[in-house]
Amino acid sequence: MINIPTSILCRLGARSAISRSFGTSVITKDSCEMLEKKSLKTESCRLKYADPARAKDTQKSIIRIVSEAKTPIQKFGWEYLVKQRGMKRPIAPHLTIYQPQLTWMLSGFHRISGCVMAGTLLVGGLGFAVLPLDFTTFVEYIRGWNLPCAVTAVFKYIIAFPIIFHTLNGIRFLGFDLAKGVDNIGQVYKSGWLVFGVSAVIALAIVINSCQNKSKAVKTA
Amino acid sequence: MAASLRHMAHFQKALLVARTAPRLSTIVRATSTLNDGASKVPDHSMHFKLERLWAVGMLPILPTSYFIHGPVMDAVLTVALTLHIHWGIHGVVYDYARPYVIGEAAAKAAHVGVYVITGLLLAGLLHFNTNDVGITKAFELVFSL
Repeated sequence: MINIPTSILCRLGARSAISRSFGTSVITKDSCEMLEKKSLKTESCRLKYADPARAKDTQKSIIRIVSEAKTPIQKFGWEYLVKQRGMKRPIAPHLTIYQPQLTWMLSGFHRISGCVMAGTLLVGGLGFAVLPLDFTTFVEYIRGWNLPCAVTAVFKYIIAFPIIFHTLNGIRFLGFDLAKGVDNIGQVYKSGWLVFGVSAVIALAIVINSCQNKSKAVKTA
Repeated sequence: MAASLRHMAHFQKALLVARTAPRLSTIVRATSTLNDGASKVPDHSMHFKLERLWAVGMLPILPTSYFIHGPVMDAVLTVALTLHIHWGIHGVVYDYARPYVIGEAAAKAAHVGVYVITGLLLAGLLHFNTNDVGITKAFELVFSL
């Protein structure tokens, strides 16, 4: 075991700590050297680097631009992001790097289905208001194509499933908000599969029912 | 006094942890929106509750609208959906249209855009209910195909 005087060790530790804590500032040693090579603003650069207090001021003024950072944790997050951008690193999360798991896939589908349904209502509402076409003519036009039941059933399923899924998963998420069903990850998976399965079954029932009604209507006509 | 390299490693590690950990215990400024429960600072807890209560209120509406079709159901659905969608889109926009990602000006524009979308949606749905077949009848027609 090598024994080294504490005073020297402490100084070594403190030095690396200081240089790292100022790693977030705009002017770092690396960028300074780069500027020096280009012989640009070498003097001011050296000054800023030599004076840690000034470097910290620059850092602070950049952080102050942000209106969002209200709490220490938000400030920490913002500083982290600025640091990452300074190092030209991409922002996380990159969804593609994660293993597809039921937990976040259902959460994502909940949000996406909500947005798509909202978008459909917005585009539909505005479209039928602006275009010289009313809904009945539109539906009768499609009816004129005489699509087989299998094709319309698929489209009906695509319409029905998100509505039912968003509703049922909404109940699940309301439970999560009340801290129900989040005691362990097993519960989260169970309720997830349950919601997914039940919505698939209900959507199927609705589609089958509508197809049966259609065939009944054809027979009576 | 002397210390071993092992002590030094511990010291370095402790420094690293202290630097990288979020400082939760830092004193919060007076302008903070954090609610410690003692003071009645306005926060989003009431909004959060209202949003959930609205969603709970919508739960019986959806199955009912499957069986009962008509102008009243259309009106109820329009009001329920518009506010629910407004809050939903608001949340999505606040999550993704962040100043860090798209810049301060674009973020502000996106936040205004939420209200534009809600206004257009309400106008579109009301127009559809009054001048066209209405939401429930539209679903009935589509599912009769």
